[in-house]
Amino acid sequence: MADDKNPDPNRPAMPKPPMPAMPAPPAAGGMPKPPTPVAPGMPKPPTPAMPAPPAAGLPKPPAPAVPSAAVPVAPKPAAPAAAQKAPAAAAAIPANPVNPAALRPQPPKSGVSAEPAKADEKGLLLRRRDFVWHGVAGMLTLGAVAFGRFFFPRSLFEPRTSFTIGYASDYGFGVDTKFQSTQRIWVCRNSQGLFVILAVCTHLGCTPDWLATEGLFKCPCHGSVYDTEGKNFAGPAPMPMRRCDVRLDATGRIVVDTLTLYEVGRFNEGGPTGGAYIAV
Amino acid sequence: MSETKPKNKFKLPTAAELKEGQIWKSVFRHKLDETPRNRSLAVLSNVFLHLHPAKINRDAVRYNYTWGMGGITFYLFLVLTITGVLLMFYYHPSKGQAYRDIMYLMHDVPFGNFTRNMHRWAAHAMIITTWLHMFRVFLTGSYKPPREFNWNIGVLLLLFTMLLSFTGYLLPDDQLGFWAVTVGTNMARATPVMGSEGPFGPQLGFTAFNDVRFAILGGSIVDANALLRAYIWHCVAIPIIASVLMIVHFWRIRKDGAISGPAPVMIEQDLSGPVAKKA
Repeated sequence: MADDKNPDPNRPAMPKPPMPAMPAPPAAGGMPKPPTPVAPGMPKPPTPAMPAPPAAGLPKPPAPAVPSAAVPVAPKPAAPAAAQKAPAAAAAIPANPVNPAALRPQPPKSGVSAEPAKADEKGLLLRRRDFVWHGVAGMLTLGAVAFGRFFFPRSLFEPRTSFTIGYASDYGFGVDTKFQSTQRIWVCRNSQGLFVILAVCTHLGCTPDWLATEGLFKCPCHGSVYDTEGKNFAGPAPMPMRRCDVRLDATGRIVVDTLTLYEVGRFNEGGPTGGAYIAV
Repeated sequence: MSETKPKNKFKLPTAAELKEGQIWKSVFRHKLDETPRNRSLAVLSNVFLHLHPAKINRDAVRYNYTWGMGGITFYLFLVLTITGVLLMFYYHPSKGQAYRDIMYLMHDVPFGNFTRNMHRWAAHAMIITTWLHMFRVFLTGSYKPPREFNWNIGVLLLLFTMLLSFTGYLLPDDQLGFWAVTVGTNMARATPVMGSEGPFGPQLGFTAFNDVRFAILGGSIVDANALLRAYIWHCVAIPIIASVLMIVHFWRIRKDGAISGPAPVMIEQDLSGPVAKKA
């Protein structure tokens, strides 16, 4: 039973068909299309002068399931598998490959009977079984891919990543926390201008608390401490908190983009029109 | 003339008669004799017990060999399953409602607080006993052949036990769980290849909106989708996966020589490998 299912006995025989004398042996259809070589009783074996026609009328297993089936069926001399296998196989069998006698020494393992008719039947059965199994494998693969894709929704119901926060004149010096709970940002202003800190601790992503009396941001999760401009100076945080891109729209309102972030070292990339800060 | 018409002929069967009856025999296929053979039959003919060996060496069950840790862990899993199903009767996995349901369970539902605490403490205990079980197996060298396969099943079970604990953390939707899951899933950003901030992640085009963390949370932030996903993984998916692995685990314990003691003798021809293929 196990031998029946195992396509091995058939496979080594397959690459052999290419005619020895031909300069460009047709890659007679990788593994899954054994018809020409193995089936001695096939109605019309390809003549040596012609490139092997793609095994017509025979069940073709889906290509992706079989690695070596990826070799194109067209008679390409450059096809890697054909280039490797064919010459060796051709040298091994100088006789006419359609002759079953030539095949007899080849399959020493069980599975392919020596008698031509039976070998044909068995080969057909194997091909059919391969076809079914490849179909099952293909369906399972498709299902797994779909299962994975299922977990990535297209639409999200999350706060906008780009929004307006009013005019620069709405904000005085210091830290404004009015957008902390809805947008997870702090609007800050210093002598340089107005900037927006993304309220995400650079350690592991909690929201630090703004302690107005101490003039500090403190993270409740692991104790990172930041100064009024979001620069870390205590705790495990590795770097200052990031800042959001700020721009002025046509009406002079400030547009914040929480997906365009500036890390430390780029905090000066701003100016009158915006960037890491707006000079106001 | 005292004998008149016969009364109702039906009378309740005695216990002895019941045991001779068809119903009893259909349920219990054998007698209750205290014979070695009958005791074996009791194990072999029971779907739950038949995963275990019918007989083992009396020394094999000594507690200083096994600590009983695997059995205790499984017992805690049963406790968690039962109390967890009970909690599900009151819990809505949606933002706002989830926390209210926990408060409801703790302060109003009869035995609600007791059930919740049982679930919580059993969960803590199961993590501990799982580690202790693993520790014992390591000390007694029970990970060695032919038990190496079962050791790997056990490692998977440890992983799923931890995942059960982690996914359950978010469900009360309180500050503790919310920030714990925030931290935990932020670590997933650093996953190699599949995380938006891990090695090769950005180069492969992963962002906060398509990486592995996104798949865990169902979004880019810990929100309603994350709560629902944690609930499904915690209450349905992981328990099923873990149960299947447990069945394999228990079966292999028996097949690999029972809970302690030397490994069983295997005939070489029965093992997979070159010898088997030749034959």
